[in-house]
Amino acid sequence: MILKFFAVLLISAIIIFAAFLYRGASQLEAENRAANGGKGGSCSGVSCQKCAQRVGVVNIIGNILMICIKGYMGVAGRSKGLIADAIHSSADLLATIIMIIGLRISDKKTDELYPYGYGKAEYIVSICIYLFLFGIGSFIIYNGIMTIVEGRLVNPCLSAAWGAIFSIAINELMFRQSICAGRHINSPSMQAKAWESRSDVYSSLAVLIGIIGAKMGFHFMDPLAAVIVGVIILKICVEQVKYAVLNLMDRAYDEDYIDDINKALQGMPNIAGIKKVIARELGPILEFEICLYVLPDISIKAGESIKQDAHNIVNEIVDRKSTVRVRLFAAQQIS
Amino acid sequence: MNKLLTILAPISVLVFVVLLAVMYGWVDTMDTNMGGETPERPELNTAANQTQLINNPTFPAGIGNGQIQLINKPTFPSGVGNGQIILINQPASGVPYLGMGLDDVPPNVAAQLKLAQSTGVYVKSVAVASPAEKAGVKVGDVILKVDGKNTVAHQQVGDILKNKKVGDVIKLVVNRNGVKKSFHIKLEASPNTTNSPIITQQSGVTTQQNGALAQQNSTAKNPFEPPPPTAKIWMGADIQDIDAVMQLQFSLPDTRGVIVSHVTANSPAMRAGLETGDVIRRFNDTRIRDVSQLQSLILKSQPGKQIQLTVLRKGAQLNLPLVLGEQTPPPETIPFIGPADIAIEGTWIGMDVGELTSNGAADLGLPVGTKGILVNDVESPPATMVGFITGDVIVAVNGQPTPDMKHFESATQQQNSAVVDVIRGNKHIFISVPPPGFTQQGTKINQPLDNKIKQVAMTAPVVQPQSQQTMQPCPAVTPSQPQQLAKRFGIFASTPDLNSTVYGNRFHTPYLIMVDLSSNSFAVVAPSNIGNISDTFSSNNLAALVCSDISKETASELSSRGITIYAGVIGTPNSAINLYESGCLTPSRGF
Repeated sequence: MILKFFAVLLISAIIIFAAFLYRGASQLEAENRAANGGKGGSCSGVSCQKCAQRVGVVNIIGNILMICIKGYMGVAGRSKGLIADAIHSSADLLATIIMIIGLRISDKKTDELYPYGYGKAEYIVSICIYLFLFGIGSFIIYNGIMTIVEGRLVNPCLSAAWGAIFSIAINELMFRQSICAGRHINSPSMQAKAWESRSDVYSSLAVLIGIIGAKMGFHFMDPLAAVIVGVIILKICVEQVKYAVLNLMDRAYDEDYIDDINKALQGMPNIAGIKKVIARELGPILEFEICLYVLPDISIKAGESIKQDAHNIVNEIVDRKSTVRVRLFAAQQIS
Repeated sequence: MNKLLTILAPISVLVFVVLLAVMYGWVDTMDTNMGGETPERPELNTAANQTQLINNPTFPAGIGNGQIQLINKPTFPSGVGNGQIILINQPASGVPYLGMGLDDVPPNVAAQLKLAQSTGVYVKSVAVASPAEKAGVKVGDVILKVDGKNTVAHQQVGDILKNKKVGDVIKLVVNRNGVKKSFHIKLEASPNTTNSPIITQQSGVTTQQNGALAQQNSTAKNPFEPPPPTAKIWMGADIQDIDAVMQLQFSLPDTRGVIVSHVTANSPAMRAGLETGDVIRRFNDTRIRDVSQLQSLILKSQPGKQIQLTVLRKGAQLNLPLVLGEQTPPPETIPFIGPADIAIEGTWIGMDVGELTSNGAADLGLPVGTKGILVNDVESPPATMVGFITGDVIVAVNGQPTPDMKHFESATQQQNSAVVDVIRGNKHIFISVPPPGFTQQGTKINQPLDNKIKQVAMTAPVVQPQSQQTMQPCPAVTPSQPQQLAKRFGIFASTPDLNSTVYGNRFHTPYLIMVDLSSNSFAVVAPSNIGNISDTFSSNNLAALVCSDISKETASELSSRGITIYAGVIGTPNSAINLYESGCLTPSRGF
């Protein structure tokens, strides 16, 4: 009885959430149209900014709701695929949570023990969690395959299909919102996140097909969908762990930024040349180290102003939170 | 606070993930273990499906046979054949006395009455003022049956009477000048004990059938038990689960919901406009699966509360608001004595029927003016299988009223399958009669037979050493693969022959035919050699039982040993084997 009540509560929450997403999207669209004098397309209106700020919160709430509904429906409806999909959603949610934790940690002031700050803690947490999830994912695949091989009867009922349908709808709406906001405020990272929720749509679709197939009598299809979702989970885990390890190793950051900065720095007056520009990621922060050649006889004051200029150039190009260290070297050969 | 949250959030998600993973591993095992709530099993297909008669394989009563399925009504007065139980439970107060002199049937009488050899017991004399005379038995009658058991020799009558006490009512079916008649004789104490033609021991033993019923009546979990007296909420409609035959006869789209078999006058149901034949699909938006669900919903409600019934009537959905009432004190249930003297005017699907007289109606406690056909004796399948009992009054067949034999005959001749409206006790119930060649589950029986099954010698009655050497012991049915058919199974049959009738053990003592599909052989165990059924099954490696009906005790004992039970099967063991082999039989569950 309580469980049923819980399910009803969940479903109504999801419907309200979906309605909110849908309404919000159409409303914003209308506002944008009005602001742009009837033509759609790119804008940087206030409403889009607002929308973009909401994306993170919406994603978290959406994912939590979906984990609950998929977990509940999956267990109640006896669908392996849906439960695996719930775990998949949990992996997504964990990624978001780790990101938030990373932000929190990097906000922490440096102290004597960790003079370079706590930026790398995020990666360690992320490695631990994803290795754990890797284990879960392997279990899902192993168990799913064993179910198929042994021919055990998985007999999902239609409520499980409803769980998958809800999941598809919400993921699609979240994708639409993120991609819209991401395009309008020109944020590639947000667009990347949007495509992630699109891939969730596909995995839920596979689960739905699996459930319907099992209902039609092809009982292997539900565990097969679970195995597919398990592979997706493993893929996420591998990617995340790889990303974390590479960043722990201070791998060079994306070349594009470096090239841009190089070009911009070359236009600077008062410098004799660029020795090197390197960057690494510290959680959400980009740390740049810029080594410049200057004439050996400039005053410290002039040197400081060069450093300040370099700072400004980097800040102009890079739209992320970043720290910049500028070191000056005397350019002997050039003179 | 924030710190706590940052730590708690991922941990709680991880815990949830672990929980889900555990559930993930359980999902498939859960399915096989929990029989009750599982969604419909994948339907077993093949030829049986073409008839579209597939019934819900889960029997609501928990006993897999048609009889119970149809009379599974907690509101039903007090079980089946209640009169005798009540009487049996009374302390014996003397030596019963019948007052007839019996003998074997003289050959000339047998020839005159065209009786088969060695049937019946001849009444040589009837004592003055004896129970037999009061009941109307006359000299020259040939007693065909006593209490539903065929009588072959006059000693048999004595055996039956041994288990009776003074005050018991026994039923006789006699052949008088070629006409079948039935009598009810109330046993009295003998006026002169030493001279009594039948001396009865004061044994507390009852016949097996009655014993089983009496026991059921005393168990608390008994589905026949009337609802507790505290439950006073009342709708006033008799309801039943829908089976395939009813679906066909009422042209329903499916068997969901429950069908209204009778609406009591001046009841809330009548005020709401409910009619016989309506199918209740929803109760306050809750989908109705079966009778017990609707009953529990009603019991949870309050008298005076308005509820909304969604009803299917002639293909259209109706919404009927209904105000639940309080139950008036239920009418006294009259123990079934039955009308004293009735001529048996016809037989139908294996039962003797006769027109209900006004006296008979009064005896049965029915309202004055009730007209119908009284079921006087239920003899053989299919009547025994589908749930008719002696004392049922048939008031309509397929919606055609049957006030007299003429109407009854025309109604029954028209159709093969029928839904029969029956008054039993003070309730109307529908009984479905499957068309010949079909089981009540809707599976077709008469598939082409092949005589590939050969009988093997049965050396020892219980253990079968010879066949155990030749046959591979079949793998036990693993719970995760319920569809896999075991190669060795048993069939209850009326005679040791594959062309006899599939029997049950509730009303008969069946032969056990053990079939081994892997070697195409079968062996027969005589009723007296079966002994403990489940031991026999275990020692012979039998993994399934096919029968027409089965007693609750046997069923639970067998199913606790993992033996699949296919009950409600009508036809010959030969066809049953074919049905079993082709996977057409649906296991009965819920024991």
